[in-house]
Amino acid sequence: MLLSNADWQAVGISLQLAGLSTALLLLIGLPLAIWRVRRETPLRRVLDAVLALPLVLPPTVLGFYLLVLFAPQTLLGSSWQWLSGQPLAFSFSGLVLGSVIYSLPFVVQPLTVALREIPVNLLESAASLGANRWQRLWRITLPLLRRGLLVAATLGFAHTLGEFGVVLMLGGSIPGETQVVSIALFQHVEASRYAQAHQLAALMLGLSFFLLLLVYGLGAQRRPATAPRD
Amino acid sequence: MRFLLTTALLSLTLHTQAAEPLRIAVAANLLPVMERITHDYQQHGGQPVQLAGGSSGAFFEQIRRGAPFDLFFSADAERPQQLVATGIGQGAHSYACGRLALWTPRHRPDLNALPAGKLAIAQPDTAPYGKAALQALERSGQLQAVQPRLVYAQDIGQAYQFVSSGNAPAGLVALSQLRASQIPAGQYAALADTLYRPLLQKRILLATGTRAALAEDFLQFFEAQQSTLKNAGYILPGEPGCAAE
Repeated sequence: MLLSNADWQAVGISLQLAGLSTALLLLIGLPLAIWRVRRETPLRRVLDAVLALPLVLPPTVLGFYLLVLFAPQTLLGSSWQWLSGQPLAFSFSGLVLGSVIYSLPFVVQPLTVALREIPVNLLESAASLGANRWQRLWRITLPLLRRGLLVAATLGFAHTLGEFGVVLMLGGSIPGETQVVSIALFQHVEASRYAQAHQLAALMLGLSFFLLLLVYGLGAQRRPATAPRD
Repeated sequence: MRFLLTTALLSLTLHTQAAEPLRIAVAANLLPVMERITHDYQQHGGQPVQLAGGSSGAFFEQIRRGAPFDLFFSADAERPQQLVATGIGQGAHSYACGRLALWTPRHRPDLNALPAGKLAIAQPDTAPYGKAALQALERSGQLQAVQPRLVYAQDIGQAYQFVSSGNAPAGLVALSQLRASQIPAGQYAALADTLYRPLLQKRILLATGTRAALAEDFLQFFEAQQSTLKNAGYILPGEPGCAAE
């Protein structure tokens, strides 16, 4: 592989963006998924619809709204500028925020499915034995959720890695800051640099395939692991 | 029966061919002006026109792979010429020279005293206006100071939008965009034409067969719109600062 320094930089940005977004997504996605599974309120339907929006919306719609929202004239934009001294648009932080929204359904959905598979009576008996909410979370839910978490993390990571439209709308393609692989590839193609485009594309194809292989591998292993409980 | 079927099919294909609007690929800088011209064209009884706006680099790639455009108005001269050289399209012809402007909505426009924060330019690799912007920054001696603050838009349309949305306090955009959007004159200044190589813009005819005549009809109307182009901030070929070919 003869990637140029700029291309490696783009690969680095993509991996950092996907890694950081995935960590944040798990922190946000887990409470959301638990709330979705445990509470049956009319509000949940609304939340379900909102959570699924990034699946349906064209990424450009999301990118456009975020760009409007990030402007220094808005509350979010101005408070961010006051806190960090730089605007949210065209910054790595802005991309992380965009990615978290964009990939949220890909994390919440598998977590919800995995949580539904945890037998309620297990949690109930733990409660009757005196385990409080946090003990139940640490000792029962999280250990049983390990594979679900891994699947959610991998999907969130992979989906963020494949992000294009949102970044195109609000990234500004700054090398070393907001120029991710998909954008670098797009520019190679537009500038007729096919050799570089091919290399980046092949790298992404390989990486995505590997990640999906991981997801399906994890999914296949789940069955024997849950069998003894039944 | 066979005769009926054949005529039905034939009329169907003829019908779709006639109803297909003229498809024009337009470099982003020209899009606002082109929208007005095509509107006038239809007022004068012209056939329906479909405009697609984007960066010249992107259109170049699409057209050389057979994108179904009838006309291509590029933001440069090289790409249309290159297409013609590879046997795609014909009649590369200069229609205008574009001008760059510095747009600073909240400051007095001065290239040597740019406001703090980002400066939006179009991607120099793919958008001729971006290449010219980089050249102007270099020639004015600002490039080194401003380089870390540059944000790159996919085309000059996005550069405009980065500034208009308030995310970038300054941008190097096309004068035509500012004029078309009726931006107050105090917010922008056209750059001295010594700062960048003239943005000679060419167009080519891509349509073949029966559609070529439709495209020619539009071109004839377009040629008569010189005052519109001039008012929009373009220099016409043959005028000072814009070589005819």
